[in-house]
Amino acid sequence: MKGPTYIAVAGNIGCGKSTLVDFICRHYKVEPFFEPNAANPYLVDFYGDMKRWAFHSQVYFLTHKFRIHQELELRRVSRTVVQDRTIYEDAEIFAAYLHERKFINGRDWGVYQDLYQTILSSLRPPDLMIYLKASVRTIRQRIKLRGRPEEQKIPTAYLKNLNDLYESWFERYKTSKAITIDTDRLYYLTDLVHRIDVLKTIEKYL
Amino acid sequence: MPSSDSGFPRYIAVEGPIGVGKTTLALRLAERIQARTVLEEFTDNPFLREFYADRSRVAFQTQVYFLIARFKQQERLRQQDLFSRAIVSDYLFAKDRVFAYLNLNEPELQLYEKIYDLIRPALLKPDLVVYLQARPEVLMQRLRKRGRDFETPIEMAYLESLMRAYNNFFFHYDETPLLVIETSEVDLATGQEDFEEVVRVIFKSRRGTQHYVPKARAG
Repeated sequence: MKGPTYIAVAGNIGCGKSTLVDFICRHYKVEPFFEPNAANPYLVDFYGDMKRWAFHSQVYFLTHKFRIHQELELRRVSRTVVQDRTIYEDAEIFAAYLHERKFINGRDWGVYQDLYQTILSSLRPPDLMIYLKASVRTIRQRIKLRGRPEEQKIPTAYLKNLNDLYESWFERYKTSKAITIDTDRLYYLTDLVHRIDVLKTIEKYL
Repeated sequence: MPSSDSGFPRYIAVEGPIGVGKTTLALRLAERIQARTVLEEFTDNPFLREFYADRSRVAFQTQVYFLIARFKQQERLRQQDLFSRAIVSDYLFAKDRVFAYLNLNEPELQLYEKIYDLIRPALLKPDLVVYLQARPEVLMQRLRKRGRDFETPIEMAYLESLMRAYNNFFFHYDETPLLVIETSEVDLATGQEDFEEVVRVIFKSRRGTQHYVPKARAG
């Protein structure tokens, strides 16, 4: 790597983002960036009445994520940063899903988009965006394997919807250098050959 | 932003509660001093009708909409040549917060403040803010007179709380020179003498806050 670099890792639930982030950090001896934990004050309301509170809770997530990006912006000047999930995904995947399912109506969606575009215009994109792709089947297996109880009940249809949104977002994504890594047959946690492959792929772009 | 040699402010923002006559004065002033106008595009707000009918339900959406719309307008303003022609606007960006404090609940307000903080550094400051006051019953008369249908649900109590919020805001306001004009007894929309006097007062405006209470005219 030449100088401080900002690498972002994007991908669906259970596609292996944090594993890859750990791995890159260890390999390049980079201190991982931990997001400050903040509870969304609308989450409880949201699960009680999704239509009423989807907009509020998504605006909260977006604004919170923007803060994190601003912090990253300060860091990236002097050191390499590896980010696990970006603001792009908040808007283009998770909020978009709620809009698609009509939990955010068209009028509110317009306001959300305005806010998102305004934020985007003041953001510097990452130097490299890595999109981890996985089939729903793989995601299901990994969710089972890591055994977080709250994830076991995630409906397959939801994972599929998110996967579709990820796909169409990444096709549109032209904001920075970007690579797709298909993780269906990758075991970089355990397999040294796979790790070297992944590193080679990344390094071509740095 | 520097003032021109003549001493006339280059960027004037006219403020005040709904119905007080901001836009009318801004347009008249702009014509008088050959300035460009930057007017609030409130009719574009798709929430406004519902907002006046049931404020709590869409207050946050309305507020975020206005915040971003005003911000975008400021951005356009910044990209234009501010020195070629003076500007008269019928709003002050900071008014957005007056409304936020009036209409949002506590968690919404916190969220709103976060967004406001994001855009605050990019905001432009006028050379002079003209704050128009009027008694709530005068505001009500003026609203009735202009008869916009979506404004009909507005009640006296709302106008009173609005007036209080404005007064409170401008009482603490010190970011730019401020000229407070009590308009209850004057007609700045059509009255020629009243208007010319206001132009003179604006022309003489200095740093800090000044108050101007025109005397009612006979006839």
